[in-house]
Amino acid sequence: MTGDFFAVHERLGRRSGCRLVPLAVLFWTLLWPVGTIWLVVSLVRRYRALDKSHDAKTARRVERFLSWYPTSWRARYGEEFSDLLHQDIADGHGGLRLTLNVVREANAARMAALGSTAAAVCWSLFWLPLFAQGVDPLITKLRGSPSRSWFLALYTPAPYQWLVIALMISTGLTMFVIAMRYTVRQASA
Amino acid sequence: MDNDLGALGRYAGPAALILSSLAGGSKHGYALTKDIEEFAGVSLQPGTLYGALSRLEHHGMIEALEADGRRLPYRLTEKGGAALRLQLDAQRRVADVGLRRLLAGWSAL
Repeated sequence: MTGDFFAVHERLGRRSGCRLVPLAVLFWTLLWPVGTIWLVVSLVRRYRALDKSHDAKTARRVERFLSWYPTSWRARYGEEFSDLLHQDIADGHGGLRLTLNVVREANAARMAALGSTAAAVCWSLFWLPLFAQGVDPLITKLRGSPSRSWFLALYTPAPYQWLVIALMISTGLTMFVIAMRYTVRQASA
Repeated sequence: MDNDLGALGRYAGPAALILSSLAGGSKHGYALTKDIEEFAGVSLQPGTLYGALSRLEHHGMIEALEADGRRLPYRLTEKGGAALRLQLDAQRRVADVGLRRLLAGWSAL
């Protein structure tokens, strides 16, 4: 395994179809000191090879800003947004306030993109903690039935059983509220 | 309500500024920030501007025109005009009542 740390893992990532660099950093750092040395040497080489002119720094900063947004958002607004960022930085408004604003808005765009996935997951699974692991074991426990079936709460020590049941019910209710809020918002949009 | 800027949540304020600017003609992002700065004295950050633009476009209140180089001008749609009118009417009512009460209060003192 020779060459630059990032290039090697990006090549491997392209082959497997996913981004491997963050995982690779964790893997090599935790499991193998050689990987850490390789990473540090690669970082130093990369830093030395960087173009340190003002324009290049601005271009890298804008690219980094854009990378925080979801892919679909970048495809639609990326070009004009990067143009505006370049203009804003050239006008002298490129301070911490700009960074914080982009972080906040990129996060909001990511959350909006994740909303439909989160709602689908919540709609399909909310019944599990709410009824199957919450209300059902609650009824079983109130009846004093000896059966524990597959109720997680009833396998925990007696003092924790009520707590686990309460946690399950609140998790299920939270998932239901998240799914319902998203659906209502979409309907009224 | 379908034409209510309130549906945009925390983007309702920036959206009203953007729609007011576009009511004067189509503009791209940079021109919008400059125009808003000029008429309202508010400096919209790029992230906030594009957060509001994307939501306004999603709600059909603005639409993109043909690209001018890397810049994409936007224009107000009929729905956007109606939403702006509603918003400005509501603001005017608040301003009228506030001013009237303020004046009555000052004259009573």
